[in-house]
Amino acid sequence: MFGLFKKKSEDFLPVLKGKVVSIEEVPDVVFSQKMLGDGFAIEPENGIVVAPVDGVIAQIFPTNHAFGIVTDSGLEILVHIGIDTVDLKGQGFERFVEVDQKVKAGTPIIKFDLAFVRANAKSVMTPVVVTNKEKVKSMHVNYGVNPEIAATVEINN
Amino acid sequence: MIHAFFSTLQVAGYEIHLNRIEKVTEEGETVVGKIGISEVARGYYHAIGGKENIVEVDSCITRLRLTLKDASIVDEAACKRLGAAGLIKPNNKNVQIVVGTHAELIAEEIKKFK
Repeated sequence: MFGLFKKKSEDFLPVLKGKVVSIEEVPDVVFSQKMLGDGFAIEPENGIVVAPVDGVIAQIFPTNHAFGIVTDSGLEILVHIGIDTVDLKGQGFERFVEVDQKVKAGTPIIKFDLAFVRANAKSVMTPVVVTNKEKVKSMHVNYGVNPEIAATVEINN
Repeated sequence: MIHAFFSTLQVAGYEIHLNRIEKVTEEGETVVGKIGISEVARGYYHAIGGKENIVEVDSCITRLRLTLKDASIVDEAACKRLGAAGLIKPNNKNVQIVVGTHAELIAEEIKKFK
């Protein structure tokens, strides 16, 4: 990695099949009020969560309902499957990768039982947030059903 | 430019003087970077009332999820100085402190002080 070419922007794949909606619609003030940063959310149709970008898995919560991924370009991204899903204590969630693993955009990270989570958690809506706000020059989200690219983030270097 | 200047930490008397912490950014990670997880956790431990007030400490990936005897005594200003992005109080016994993605580590440290 020569670091000669710093990426100016990152395209985010939708982490799930479904509808990309505004993060302000997430039924949790931490996300809807952008306390940790800006992003978008997905109303999922399926239960296979994929990496939105190329990067390294920075953390996976022990209950497998949320993970963090860091890109070479320096974006720190949080994906949180459903709302208040930590209360499910891991039931219905399964991880495919481990911390420090390098992944490509589209790599399956976590599988979850959509019907079970829908029935037992506050919401299945899944926010994707860039948590290091100072790196985000701008974010453009493509709202709607199954866009090829969910969002493009321009990066402050 | 990120400028955080951490002054006196008085453990005796269980008081923390977060004098002259100036955070130009809102990042909890900045404070953690400057003084470390253990000191940040100690700060939260006192801000939430210490072992007399703590019933249970849990976390999600971005927040401390606390069950307290009395949530009204939580020092919100101190939490903000420690880098919390916000506090959520669903009722008088529960508080969530949005500390950022070090939440699990901070929770584990707080449990050691109990």
